[in-house]
Amino acid sequence: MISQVEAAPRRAVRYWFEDGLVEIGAGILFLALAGLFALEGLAPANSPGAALSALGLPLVILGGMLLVGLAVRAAKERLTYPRTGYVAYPAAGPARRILAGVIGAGVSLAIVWLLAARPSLQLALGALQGVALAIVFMALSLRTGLARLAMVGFVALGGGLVATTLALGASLGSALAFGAAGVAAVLSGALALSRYLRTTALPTEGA
Amino acid sequence: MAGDDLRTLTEVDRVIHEPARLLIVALLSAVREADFVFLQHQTGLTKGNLSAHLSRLEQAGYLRIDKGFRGKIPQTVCSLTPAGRAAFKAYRAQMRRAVGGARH
Repeated sequence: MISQVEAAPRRAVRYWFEDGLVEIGAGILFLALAGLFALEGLAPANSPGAALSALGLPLVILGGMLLVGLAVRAAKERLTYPRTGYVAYPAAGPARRILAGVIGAGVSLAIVWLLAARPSLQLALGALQGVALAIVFMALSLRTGLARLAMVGFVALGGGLVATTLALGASLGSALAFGAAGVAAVLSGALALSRYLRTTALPTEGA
Repeated sequence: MAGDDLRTLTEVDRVIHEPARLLIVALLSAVREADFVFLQHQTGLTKGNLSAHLSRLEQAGYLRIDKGFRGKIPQTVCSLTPAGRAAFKAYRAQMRRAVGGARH
């Protein structure tokens, strides 16, 4: 009984990922980023494409996160909550948000410093991003007990390593790392959603 | 010392100790709030059984129940009160001590 009690909170957290919608949303965001990095890598310097990729990155990251968040919530309202119920999770406290910001800023600064100090490391940027994505998905997998999230992490890592092996450069390397993660996340999420919809039913009227 | 830990089992919070209610409280401890459908799906209890356990937890002051609508559909949303969270935390600590003591 003790192990069931300890497992119950984890089940509640895992529930957010069970329908696959979060993965699909994250995958779409990663694919958008991959497209932007690819444009940056392929477009000639000073071309409209290069300008678009430079301007688009913050828009895709911030705007994309907002839009994906709204879309995932709307999809859950329509598909998930009527079938298996509604859950709201506690918002991160100020200390946790500050810590996340500090860690994010620290990692970004470290990468910028490394790339400035060793320009040749730009060739390994795809691998570094693949590692970062793999760590995030592995952590999610451990937290939720969903093995498929670890698979997405492995694919992201693989994409980054391939990009570095092929010496694609910073932009195309990033495109491959995020593209691989995006495709894996969308496919994984779509399979999970398909299974979820097949195994759960909308409540009948009056039930 | 191990005997003392085991003896505290007689003083366990019986509102939480009941298996169905324990599962409900454990699930709600990880979230801000959850509705009746979620709890029924996760616990496997019948509607009547779940309603009875939720009422018992609400009577004990451990649970807050809000009845409203999600669009046009009635919805019952549950959340642990601060007292409920404290009671669950104390219960877990008590059980860990008792189980740990029983191993020696």
